[in-house]
Amino acid sequence: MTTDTAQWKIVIFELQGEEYGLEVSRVQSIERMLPLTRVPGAPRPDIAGVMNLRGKITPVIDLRLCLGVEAPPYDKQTRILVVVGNDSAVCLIVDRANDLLNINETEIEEIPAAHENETYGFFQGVVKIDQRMITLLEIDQVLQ
Amino acid sequence: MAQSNYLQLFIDEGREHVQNMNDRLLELEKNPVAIPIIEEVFRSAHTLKGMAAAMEFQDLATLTHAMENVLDVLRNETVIATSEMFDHIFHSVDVVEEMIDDIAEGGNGSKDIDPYLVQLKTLTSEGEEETAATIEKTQLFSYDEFEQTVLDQSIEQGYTPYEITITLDEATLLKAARVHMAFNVLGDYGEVIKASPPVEDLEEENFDYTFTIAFISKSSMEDLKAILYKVSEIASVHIEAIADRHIQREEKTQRKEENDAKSVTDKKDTKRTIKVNVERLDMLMNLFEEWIVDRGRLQRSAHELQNQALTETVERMSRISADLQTVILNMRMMPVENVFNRFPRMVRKVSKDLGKKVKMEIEGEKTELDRSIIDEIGDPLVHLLRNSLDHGIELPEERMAAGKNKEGTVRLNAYHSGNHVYIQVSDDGAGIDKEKLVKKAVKQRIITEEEAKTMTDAEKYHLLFSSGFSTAEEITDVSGRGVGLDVVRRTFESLGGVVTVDSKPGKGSVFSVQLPLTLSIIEVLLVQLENETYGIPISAITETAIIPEAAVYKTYNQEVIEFRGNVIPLLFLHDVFQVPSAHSSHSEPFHSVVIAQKGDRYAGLVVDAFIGHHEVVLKSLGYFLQDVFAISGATVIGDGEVALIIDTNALIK
Repeated sequence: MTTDTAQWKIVIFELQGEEYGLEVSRVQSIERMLPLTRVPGAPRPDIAGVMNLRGKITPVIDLRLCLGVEAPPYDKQTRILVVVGNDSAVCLIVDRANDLLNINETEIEEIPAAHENETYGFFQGVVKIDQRMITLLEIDQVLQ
Repeated sequence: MAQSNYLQLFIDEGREHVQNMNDRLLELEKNPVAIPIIEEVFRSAHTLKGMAAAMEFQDLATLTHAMENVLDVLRNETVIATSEMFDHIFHSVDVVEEMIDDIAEGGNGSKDIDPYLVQLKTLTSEGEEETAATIEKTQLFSYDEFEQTVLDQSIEQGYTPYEITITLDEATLLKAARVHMAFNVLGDYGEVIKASPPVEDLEEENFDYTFTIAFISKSSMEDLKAILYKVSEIASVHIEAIADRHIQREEKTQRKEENDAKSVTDKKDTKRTIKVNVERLDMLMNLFEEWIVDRGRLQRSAHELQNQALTETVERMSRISADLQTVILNMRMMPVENVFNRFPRMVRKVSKDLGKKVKMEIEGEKTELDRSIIDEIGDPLVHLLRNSLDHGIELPEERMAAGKNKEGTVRLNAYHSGNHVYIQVSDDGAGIDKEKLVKKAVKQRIITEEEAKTMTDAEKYHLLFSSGFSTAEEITDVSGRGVGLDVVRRTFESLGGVVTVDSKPGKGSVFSVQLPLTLSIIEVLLVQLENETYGIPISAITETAIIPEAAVYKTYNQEVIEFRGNVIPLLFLHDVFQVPSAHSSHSEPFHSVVIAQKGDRYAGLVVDAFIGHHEVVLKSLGYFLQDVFAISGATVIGDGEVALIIDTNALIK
């Protein structure tokens, strides 16, 4: 966060009415909900299962479970963010995907102390644009 | 030279030559006078030398050159190779292999080769001492048409053509002068037709200490020899009449033909081939997998739409894709030979280290397996072989005392049966003491004494593969270093294989491994659990059955059924996979049961319904979901949904 010219393009998505952002370079595609296959005994409780993503079996993380927010049933707005993981793609379930925004790196602020909780490590910071408060996701932490 | 272009080729071919040398040397050790075999080893060493020199791997070139010299001595039958000699040569082959490995890893294959060179040099000079009429190096001349005519005419005119090999004393200062003197004295008795190295090189001293000339003369061999020995600083002279050599060479070729009748026919069978990068094959396979999935979808649509033209087209497509599948799978198939042929060397070494006499027999090395499996089975097989050598085969004295041949036999054989390949490692050693096994297992708390009483023989032997189990009374260098047979079992199981062992006390043991032909396309029975679909590999299924609730018994909190006279446990997959369900399946009046088998153990897997038999492409769940209990992978079924494939091996304990 040194130069003031660095611009980030971020995908804005929503979880339980709150807006989150993810760097667009990490997002491969955004999909509508696909049939999901539960994997019994998966190593993480937030793994919703696997999906067939154009012939590839891809693990699906329910981001809502991961971040500890309430997980309403999937609806027409439910979206899948396909992100690039270590060596393959991973799907993230979000309530809806809204926007693509440009932000300046200098606009990123630290998470306000009141927000601090055990999932703190999942976030890079927050950014305020107009009247919107967007929390930036640290995707590598989520995928660990 | 753009080296990198050739590097991979160099490495691949280099490894092939190393393997070839190892194989041939082992054959040669059994039959040290077989010239054709020596020539094959020689050729490999020679090619390697040339390749290494071209690629500027100096040490490798020097070492292979030294090996070539030793082989040359053997080839000219001046010495018969001793066991010690083989040790040295094998050792050098090992070093060559290390160098190639180093090159493969980006090094330049340099190594301190002096000690090996010295070893090899002593071998050639020992050869000199052992034979009276010595040749250090004989160049087998080949004559062009003109020279041949000269030779023929000279014979007609009563001359005898000779090949004379002259070795100068290593202390010679003016080599060219000696050569000149030699030519001079010979000039009085005949004519030099050809020289190797060529005369110019001889004049410029571009040779070690040996040179060969073709010479026609009316004098006898002995006279010529005597004349040459008069020239000072000539260490040795070897003369051979060329006519004799011709006859000899013909004999050799004949012998070669007899000896290698088989390999000759093999060679004739060799079709034209190209080398393909494995990655490309994998890519082809992946694309084909997606094609199969789409084919399934198309079949389904055609079925729903009931359009005749579409249905026919889809049927044709299915047939073609079945053929295509066979072709692609065959492309990935390799003979197990690729793994097997590294074992004889290992067996030779280990048995020597252990002071045992062991003969190794290999059968069915042409049996083919998918490349991905071939890559994995090497290490566990090494382990099984070492186990047989260390624990199976007895010391020669013990064998004699037991009235057996003092040489033990280890057999490795592979064969096809149905959709599987079987690989067996057997020995005619002491066998396994099953009661001792059981005692040890009880002591190590792997089983209870209660369990021990009800165990079958096969189960007792299978204890060998239990985790943390070791039979070695004392830890030897060869086995018992903490890596037990359980690791072997696990490796084979991860490949979808099954290991069993059988033994007869005093007669020997047999370890059998059953392996699938290929990993990626498997046949499964799709089954339904509530709304979820799972696949169970057909290879693990013995049969399916509908069993009334009344036939289910309970022992120790475990549901069991009687199946063909055996009591087998019943596993409700609903419970195993915590399938979300509205009602308890235990209360159904009838159960759909899949009887699965692992080795000689069975279990009944309870499902809601059988969907049917499908050929599917097994895909991995990825690094994120590596160790999911009892799930070996997933597949995309016809409608694009994912079905998990059950690993029955994990369910049956």
